[in-house]
Amino acid sequence: MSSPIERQEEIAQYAQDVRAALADVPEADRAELLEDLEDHLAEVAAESDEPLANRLGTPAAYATELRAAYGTGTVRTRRSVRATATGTYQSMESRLRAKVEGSPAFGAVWNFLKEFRSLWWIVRAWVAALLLWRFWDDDWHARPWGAAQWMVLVVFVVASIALGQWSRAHPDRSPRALIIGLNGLAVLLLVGIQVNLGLTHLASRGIEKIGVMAAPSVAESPSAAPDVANLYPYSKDGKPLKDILLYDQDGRPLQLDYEAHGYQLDRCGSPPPIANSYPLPLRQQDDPDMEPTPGPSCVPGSPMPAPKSSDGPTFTPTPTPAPTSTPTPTPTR
Amino acid sequence: MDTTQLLKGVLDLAVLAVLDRSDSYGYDVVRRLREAGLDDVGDASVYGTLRRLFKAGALNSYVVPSEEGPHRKYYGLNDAGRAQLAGSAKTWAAFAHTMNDLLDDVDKGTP
Repeated sequence: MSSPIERQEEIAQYAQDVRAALADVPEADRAELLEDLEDHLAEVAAESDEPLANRLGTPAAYATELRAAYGTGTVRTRRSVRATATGTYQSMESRLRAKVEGSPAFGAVWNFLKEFRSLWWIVRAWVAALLLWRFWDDDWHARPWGAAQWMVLVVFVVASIALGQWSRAHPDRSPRALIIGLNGLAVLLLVGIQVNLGLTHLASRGIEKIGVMAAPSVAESPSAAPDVANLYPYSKDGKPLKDILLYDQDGRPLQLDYEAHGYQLDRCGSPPPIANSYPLPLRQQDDPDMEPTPGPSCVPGSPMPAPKSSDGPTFTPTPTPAPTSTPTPTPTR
Repeated sequence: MDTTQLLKGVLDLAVLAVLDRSDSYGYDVVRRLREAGLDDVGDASVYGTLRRLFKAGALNSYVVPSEEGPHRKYYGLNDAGRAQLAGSAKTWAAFAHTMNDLLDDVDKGTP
């Protein structure tokens, strides 16, 4: 049981703290407001032995409540202290948001994006469905491939729209942090999936291209030199050679893609041409529009122009050194 | 919905109504409001309201000396205060009537 003197001291201390908290109030109002303060505190103190703060709250809280009731007529109740704390946080959050959304550039962008809110509800449902399908089938599917998967997508879309509408109607009750977190996750996943799919697509296209490029040379001839139609071997002295059989490094007959250059084998000569006997007897391909003549056609076509001797290799054959004197057996005496 | 929001608008009216019945000092006004059923009302809110109503000219005040305890400052309604009470009471009655109509089909429980 506190003594009267201690009680007096408590009252005096409490009053002093309240006055201090109201130091910024204009003097006239302040005097008015605090005129009966000590009397009131004394009455409360007389009521029970409890510390003043139990009944009245902290001096700072008391001062705020007093100020509010005096200035604007707003009322705070004993139970509202915790509500005020939450309210302060919420008002901080909304002030911050107001500041961010107020900046012209950001505000314009954000307001524009808000128009797509409904679309976002559908997109995030699709992302969630994507994840589910991934675990379902162990592979990425961009669209549902069966009735069950369609059902899943529909359920997610409906749930997402319902959630979006509900949280818009109840801004105070929705777990904002959680929803914002999940939304952020969905955005990340969406970006990640797009990047992933894009890379995979690029990779598969790249492989296709390589395959296409490699195909002809692999399929058509084992060792083709694509740009060459015919070969003209020359001897060291610059003499054109004929009927030279050529083979590649693996021992296969060398074959050239003369048809790609508009040539065909001239089969009108007496012996049938050997495929790797160079130079090949080539001639211009027959005009495909011409009517096929009955019987074996052997219209002398224009042969492939052969390089003239003087058109031979432009390089000057490196002068070979004079044959070294072969050791001849000296006749023994 | 807790009564905080509701009290914001009507504490003036409640204080005037209490003082209309009989003059009173601050602490006593708080006690009587709580007895009437407004148990959430805060002390400082009532004191601040009293000072504001007084400053606005709706209340008289006088000090009653006491031999055993502290002197107490009493508040009472003057003509302006009574006029304000009458006007606010009318506004309140109309508002309450409207709300009750709106809530006609809603089960409000027995008060």
